Amino acid sequence: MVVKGIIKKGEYYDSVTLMLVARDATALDGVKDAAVVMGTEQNKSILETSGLLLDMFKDASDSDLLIAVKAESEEAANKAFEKIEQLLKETRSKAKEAGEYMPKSLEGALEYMPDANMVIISVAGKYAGDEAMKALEHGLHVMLFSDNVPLNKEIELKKYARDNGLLVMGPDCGTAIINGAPLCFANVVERGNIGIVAASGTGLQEVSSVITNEGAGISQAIGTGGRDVKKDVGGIMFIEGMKALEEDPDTKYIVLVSKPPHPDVLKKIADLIKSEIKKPVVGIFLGGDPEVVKGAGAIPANTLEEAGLIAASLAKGKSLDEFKKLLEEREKEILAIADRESKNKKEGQKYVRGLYTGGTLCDEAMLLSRQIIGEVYGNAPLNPEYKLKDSWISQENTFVDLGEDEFTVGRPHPMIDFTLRNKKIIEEAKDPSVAVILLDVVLGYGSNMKPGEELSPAIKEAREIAEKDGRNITFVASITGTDKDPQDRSKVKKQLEDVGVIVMPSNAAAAKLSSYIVKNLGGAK
Amino acid sequence: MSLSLVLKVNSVGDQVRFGGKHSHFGYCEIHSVFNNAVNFYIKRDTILSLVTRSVGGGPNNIVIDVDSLSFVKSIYMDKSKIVLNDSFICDIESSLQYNSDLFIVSKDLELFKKGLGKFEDILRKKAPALSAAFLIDKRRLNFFITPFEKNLAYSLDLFSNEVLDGKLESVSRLKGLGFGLTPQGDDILDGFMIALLVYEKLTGANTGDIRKKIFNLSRGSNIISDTFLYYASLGLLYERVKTLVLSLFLNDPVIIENAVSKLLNIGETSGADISTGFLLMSKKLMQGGIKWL
Repeated sequence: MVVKGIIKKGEYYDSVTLMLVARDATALDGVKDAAVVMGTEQNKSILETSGLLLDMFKDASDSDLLIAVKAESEEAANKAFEKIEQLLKETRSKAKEAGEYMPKSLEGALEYMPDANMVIISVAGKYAGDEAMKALEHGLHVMLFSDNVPLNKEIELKKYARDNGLLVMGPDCGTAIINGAPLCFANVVERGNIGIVAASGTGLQEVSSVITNEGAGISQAIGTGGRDVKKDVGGIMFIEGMKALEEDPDTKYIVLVSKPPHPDVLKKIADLIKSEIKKPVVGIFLGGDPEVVKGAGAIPANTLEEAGLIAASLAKGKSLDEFKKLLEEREKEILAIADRESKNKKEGQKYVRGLYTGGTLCDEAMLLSRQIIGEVYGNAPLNPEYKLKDSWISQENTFVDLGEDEFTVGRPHPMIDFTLRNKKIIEEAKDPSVAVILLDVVLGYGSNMKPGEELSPAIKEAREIAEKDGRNITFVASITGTDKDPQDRSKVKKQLEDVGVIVMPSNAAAAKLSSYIVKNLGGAK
Repeated sequence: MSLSLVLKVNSVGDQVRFGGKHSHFGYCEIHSVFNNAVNFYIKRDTILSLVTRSVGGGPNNIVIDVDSLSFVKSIYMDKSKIVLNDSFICDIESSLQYNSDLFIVSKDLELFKKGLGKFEDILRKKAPALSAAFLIDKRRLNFFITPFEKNLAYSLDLFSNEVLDGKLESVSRLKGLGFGLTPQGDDILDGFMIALLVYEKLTGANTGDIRKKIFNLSRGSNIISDTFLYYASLGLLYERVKTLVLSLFLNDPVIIENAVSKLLNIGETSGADISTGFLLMSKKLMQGGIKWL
């Protein structure tokens, strides 16, 4: 084992930067531990306890930055230093760029780019509403990434936008694709003639990816934020989004994606489909009654994948029977894999643990699993009686949404930072009752750039833990994304398959497979 | 020198003495530059801070009416003005003075306890993952992953509890522990002293000597941290801390939540670390007074 160090004078960084830089270095191959801390006596004592204290650090002062790395070889340690230097340099240059090029106000931004007609706002929720109103008053469409915007402010903004022919996407809108440009968390999809209105971020990502993977494309994808379809907001932007797509000459088919809207809002949507929308509409309201959609003349879908497949079939001029056939074949395949995987389990292994990064994907998985294995536990379960007492500790069949506030406050979203999920994977593998670990992997801009590389070591370690105990755990995953995403869907699929993960074509298929395995093993309620 | 723009100064801290203690003519040495704050030396042993509106007032803060200060490359000052980058004049003479003393009208301990309960709930929910808030919610230890981080968390837990149990010599072991310019240990100590001050204001018990002891035991060579701790030992508070303390007596969850949110915006984890220290010490004092000291 090699321990190496560097001292830097006069460099100051915030604490989270230092912790994350050290953590990134620790994640490198051959690196056992790393620390980047100010040279206080107390930090030196922690370095000593951690086996990271070097003689050269002993005279360092409180204002010196100490970088220490423990690695299996000199080469690995040097690589870690290179990584740390690079990350710290990036932090400095980001700060510099921010100082020199970034406009400090909306007015400044408009001077810099006078032709802009849309603004993305990501500031603290209580200020975001005022910024959004300012943008609307300048005649700009708004994508409001911020959450925690007061409800009355959201209503005020959306009414103003509606009355002035503008869109307000959000608050808490993480995804949109406008004129082919993916915004915030979005996938690189083909351009085409299918328009989407969605009150669900990962739902939009899953549907738009399925459409692209089926060879069709997206004209516009408008996010509204989840609260839009609740009673108070009344679906103002969902309705305006539908009208915008109806008027858009590039859009020939419309897909609606949401968790069940409030009945009043659903009625408004249905009325609009009947009265004003002339283009074919496909609707997926997860957990809602498909008959309402059907009654309005739209085509109901049962899963996000199904919504994408129907829309792609329409766009490609195919018969809808073809996708039904495909799903029937898929069902048979799922049952066959479930049979195979149920046979290699040790007695007592009978539960599934779903570790999700996408909220809507987690909801969809719970809805489908409930039909096969009954109620499942979770931190945001469908049935409140099945809420975990402690979100960190799973019980029986559990689906955890790691994107919930309790896991994300002050740290990157789990779609970006896999640390927590990797830790959970290893913990779940220690539980002798676990038969299946179910994962979603969401690609695209904004998400983790190396999901295959970062998930694989944790899956390998989890497998080893189980194998030592004579158990075999089935890993099932779905990948939301396309081959054009910066991460490349096919590449990620291969990386996961190389460590034995069964990668299913959709979240719905992955959830069903996991549930059938559990059912075969007697883990259903 | 070409002077072209005047920046409004919203407030100058009551411990900033232009022309007096802080007389300085010429360029100042900059200690560190962040988006919302620029720390600079007056002589070698005193630090003043230029801060943005979002940071707010403080005993040694000069609040400039701008969104960001990351552009600052040079600071020139004389007895009536500060000039940034040889171009931007900060008009000190017409600014208001920030008063860093704490006045608490209510002496209602029950109301304070109730406010603390609400404060704790918000802190558990909103504190950043890598802050010291694991001291009030052990499940947060899950956020500490590498061996170094785990050892750090263990030491923070051990030494802060030793100080809370009256072992004042552990102050020097807690000071300097952690990442960043003001390590977690320093911020926890800051929170401890603020809690002692509030207790003094509420009960009349003298905690000034203990605060002074804590400061003396914690002094090191980190001038930024020492400055914060020095002012806390004197009972002089920064605006966001003061706002939080006063909100606890208002029995209004929304006001408390807003005050906590503002405080949590200090640094990456500093606000949460100060809050954790304040909460732990306040609870200790509410349970058993200052007899342990």
